[in-house]
Amino acid sequence: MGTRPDPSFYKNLARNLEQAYLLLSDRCLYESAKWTAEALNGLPELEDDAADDAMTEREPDSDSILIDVKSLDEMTPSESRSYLLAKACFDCREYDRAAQKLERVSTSSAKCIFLHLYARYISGEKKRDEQSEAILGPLDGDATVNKQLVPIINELESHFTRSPATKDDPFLLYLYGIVLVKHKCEKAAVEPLARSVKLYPYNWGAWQELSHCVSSIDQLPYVLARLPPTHVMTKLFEVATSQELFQSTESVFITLDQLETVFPNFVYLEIQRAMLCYHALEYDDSARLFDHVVKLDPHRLDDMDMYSNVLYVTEQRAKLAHLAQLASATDKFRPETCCIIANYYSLKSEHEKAVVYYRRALTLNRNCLGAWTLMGHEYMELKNARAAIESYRRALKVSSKDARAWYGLGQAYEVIEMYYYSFFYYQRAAALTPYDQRMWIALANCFDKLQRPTEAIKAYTRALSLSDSEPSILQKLIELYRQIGDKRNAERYAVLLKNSEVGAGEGGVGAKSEMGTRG
Amino acid sequence: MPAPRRAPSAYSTPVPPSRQQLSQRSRLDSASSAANPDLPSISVSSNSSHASSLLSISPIVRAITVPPSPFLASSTPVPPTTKNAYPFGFGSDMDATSTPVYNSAERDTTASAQAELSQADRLRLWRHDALMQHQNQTAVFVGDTVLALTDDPNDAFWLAQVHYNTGHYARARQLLMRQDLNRSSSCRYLAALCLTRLSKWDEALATVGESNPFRNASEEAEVVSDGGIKLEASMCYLRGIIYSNQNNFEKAKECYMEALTVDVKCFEAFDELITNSLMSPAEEWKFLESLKFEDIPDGDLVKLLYSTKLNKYYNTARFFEAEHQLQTVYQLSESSDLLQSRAELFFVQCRFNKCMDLCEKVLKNDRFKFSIIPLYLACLHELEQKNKLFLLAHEMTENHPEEPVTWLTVGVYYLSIHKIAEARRFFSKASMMNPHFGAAWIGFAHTFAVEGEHEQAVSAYSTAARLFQGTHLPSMFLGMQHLQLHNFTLAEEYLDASYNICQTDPLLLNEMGVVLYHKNQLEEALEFFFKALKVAEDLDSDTKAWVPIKINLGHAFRQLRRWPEALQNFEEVLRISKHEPEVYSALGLVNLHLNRTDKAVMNFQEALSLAPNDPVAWDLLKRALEENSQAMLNF
Repeated sequence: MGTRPDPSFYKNLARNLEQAYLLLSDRCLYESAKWTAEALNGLPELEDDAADDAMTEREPDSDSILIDVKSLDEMTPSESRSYLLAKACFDCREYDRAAQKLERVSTSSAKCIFLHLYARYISGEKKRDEQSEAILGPLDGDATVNKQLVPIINELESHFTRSPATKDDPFLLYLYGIVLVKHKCEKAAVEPLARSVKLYPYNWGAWQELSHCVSSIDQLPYVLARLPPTHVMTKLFEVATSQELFQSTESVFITLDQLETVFPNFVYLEIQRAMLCYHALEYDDSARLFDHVVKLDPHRLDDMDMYSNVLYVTEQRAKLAHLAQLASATDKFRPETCCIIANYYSLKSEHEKAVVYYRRALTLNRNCLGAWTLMGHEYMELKNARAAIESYRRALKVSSKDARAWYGLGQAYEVIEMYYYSFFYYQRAAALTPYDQRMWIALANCFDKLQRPTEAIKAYTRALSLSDSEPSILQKLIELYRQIGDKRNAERYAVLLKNSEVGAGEGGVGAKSEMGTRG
Repeated sequence: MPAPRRAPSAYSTPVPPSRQQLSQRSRLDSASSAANPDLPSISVSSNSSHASSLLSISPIVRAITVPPSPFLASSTPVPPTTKNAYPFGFGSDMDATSTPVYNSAERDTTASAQAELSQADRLRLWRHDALMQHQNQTAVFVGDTVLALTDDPNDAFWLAQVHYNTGHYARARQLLMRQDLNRSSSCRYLAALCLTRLSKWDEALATVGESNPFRNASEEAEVVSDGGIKLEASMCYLRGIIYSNQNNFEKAKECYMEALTVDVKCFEAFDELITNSLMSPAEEWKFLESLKFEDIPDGDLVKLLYSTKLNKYYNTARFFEAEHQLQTVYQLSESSDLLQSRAELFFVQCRFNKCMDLCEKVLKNDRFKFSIIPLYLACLHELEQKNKLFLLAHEMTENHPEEPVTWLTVGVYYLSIHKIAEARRFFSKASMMNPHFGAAWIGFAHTFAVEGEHEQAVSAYSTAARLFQGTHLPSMFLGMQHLQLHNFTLAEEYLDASYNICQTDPLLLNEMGVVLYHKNQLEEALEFFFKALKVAEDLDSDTKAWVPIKINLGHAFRQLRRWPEALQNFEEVLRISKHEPEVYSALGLVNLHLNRTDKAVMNFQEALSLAPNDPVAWDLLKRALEENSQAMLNF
């Protein structure tokens, strides 16, 4: 990908995305289809003659798609009739009926198998939500599962072993990945998902599921090694996953810059940039970018809860109120809207009301990651550590990449003085964001509480290395060294403390500021 | 139009008789009637047109008239053929009553012929018509008159038949007592049948005799290949019924086997042997091989049909072969018995959904096919189809409250909605109605097992084990109960007994492995688990069948400190089955041993989120967390 790719690249990409839209919406994968359409509109304007050229050469670029896309849609006439009815039922949210319509024919074409099983999966999800009843109620939790997952996994596996053709269907592999992820077998899901995107890269849903499987930054290279290295979709995946892993590093920004030359008007990329800025604690930049998105696309509620988080952190009450009004004017019953309103109440210190709105968001969508974490924060404010712990846990069930939830759990357990627990969660948070000083301070604090000064010193030293010497850390270190009777070091840090108070703060021992957060 | 009520059960094969069979029958009728000129069926040879109205034989039958065979003529003095006295039968009319023709037009044509008959014969015809149309009062009335007129033992026999069909067993018996029983085995048979109906087992046994008197003379009888069931076989079968009701199962089994050896067409005996599992799977196959199917017409077909009914744990290849042949050569793919056999196989393979579909297909045509209902119930219970169970139970109780299987249905429904007390009541009701109803006994025992009342469960399973000596299930359940009571020696004994009957049930092999595991004989346990997996694979079982085996395999590997294999098994289990807290705990233990404390902590937390009250998991979590903080020493 150069600085400015040639026009034929755009033509190809546009054609592939258009085709992807049709394939995805034909399979009832509407979120992915929406994303694809957004991406298509994010491309630069094509000149008319380019459009004519597109008419003449219909062959899609062979290097990115390994399979014959037309073969994906092959069905016998009777199958396609059943498929139409099933899809119509699915679109009217009659999932069981949709699945049943394809029961008979599902042994033949991959497309029918896909919709049959996908409808069963969605139906299972819907039923699980219904059976879970109230948020954080007695039935809400791991004991209530989607009962279709295991049968779908077994059925797909038997299809894969019996007819090798199904093994090369990207959508069946994608579905296999979805159910495995839902069944908490992320490790096993990587292979089929990677294969799915390799066979057909323009299915954004598969990339998202794959991103779900990457639970720490160490795993990202391992996953990337299985993917087509230079493909534009791989780059998008890399940026999105890094963003979710709080990696606001130079290289991510470089990739993002490259992508923005390909998709100059793609809102999704702008939001990724805003999120990266947010993680890097550059709130003003982040707010500016989000603001731009709101102006461009005022009814786009996706990710707007993130914007409300930025406004919350920067305490821009008026703007947050405005955003809340805007969102509820568009759709009151979207989880994002509820999160924005909840954030607003939280900022006004009306934590009970905030909790009500977070619950509403979660009733609308139990996989709303932000709502679980933030509800945990609210419960902490309300001094309800138990409920907070449960909320954070649920957040981690949705995505184990959420460092805030890990950190929140650590805090909650610290409050109820269960330091071993607390320690474990801080440790996980620190593993996700090793350059966040707070995590190390929290860890050190735990060691201190557990009467293990040597380890506490190590952790404080690590915290110190991540930022300018902070007086409180130095103070702690001095105390700890005195405690273990190491007077020499105690004095060394006492000198450092004195220096920093004077204002000539030295960088910590072996600081790696070039790798550190951008703040 | 009154169809023969019990005809299907009395007449084994649901397939329509082939042309050859029909012609065989007709020959027999004509022959036998010739031997007994005073019986209605005489008219087949003498006046075929009238007989058609009475006996409703299809045209081809009428066309053929065969001279009476000398052998038959000299055989029994009393009613037509041996098979006439078959339990629940209608006498000679059974031959071709599948499509009775009561054609008034034909009657008119025979009016002149009727004039030639004697008064007694006309009355006999009346009696027979009445019997065929289930007008039993008429038949009794006319029968009494005929008997008074002639005082013929044959008429007494037929009157007894009428009484039997009316359900007046004592009356029939009393009538037959008047006759000299030794003169005719048919009379003796019917009398014994009445006695069994009256539950007078000892008297019945005295009537039929304790053993087969014709045993040594049977070569002679084999000459007859008449299409009907030999009376000798029926007698043997009846003897078996009596012995089994006297709880003498060894003798009963012998009698049934003898019945089949005498005449393979005695399906009731075969059915008793198979449904009550009086033989072990291997014995069943051996016995089937020893039977002389070549003696009867269509022997190949019957053999194939029988072989599909045998135990499904054994010789699956042969089953497939038989099924294939029946489907291709005989075009019987829609036969309900074949479908049922296929469904049984699916059940053994734990493919419950497929099994349910097939059962429903069968029940669609025959809503109350009692023989398949226990299987269907097991399927529905397995799949937690409470709603279907509810509807089925209601339909059954409305239409067939007299059948024990109806109350089994009700019991299963209550079991599946966890109303154990009610379930127990209905299982016990079913087993009271038929004390030899194994499914009811096992259900009854299950209700105790579910509530953890092991002692009572053990005694109920023991009863079941006594009733079904050829099936390994009751002994296996007994073994499982003792395993839960930690009586490992007893458990092993029962499981070994079960293993002697059936070597190819993965569940059993798994249980045996578990016993060895508890006795800390890990290598041997592993062997059994592997064997179980192998068998499950050979049966082509659904994943459901081998998930518990894999879990146990994982545990055994864990105890043997073969960590990677343990991990592999547990992870596979998590992928292919519903998540169980124990699996997570076990995985946590492995990870703890491998010093992956962070993973162990997550595993224990998963376990606790599924089962929050597990003290062991809490303990392990605490340990993992402590070890985890130690591991941080060198970061």
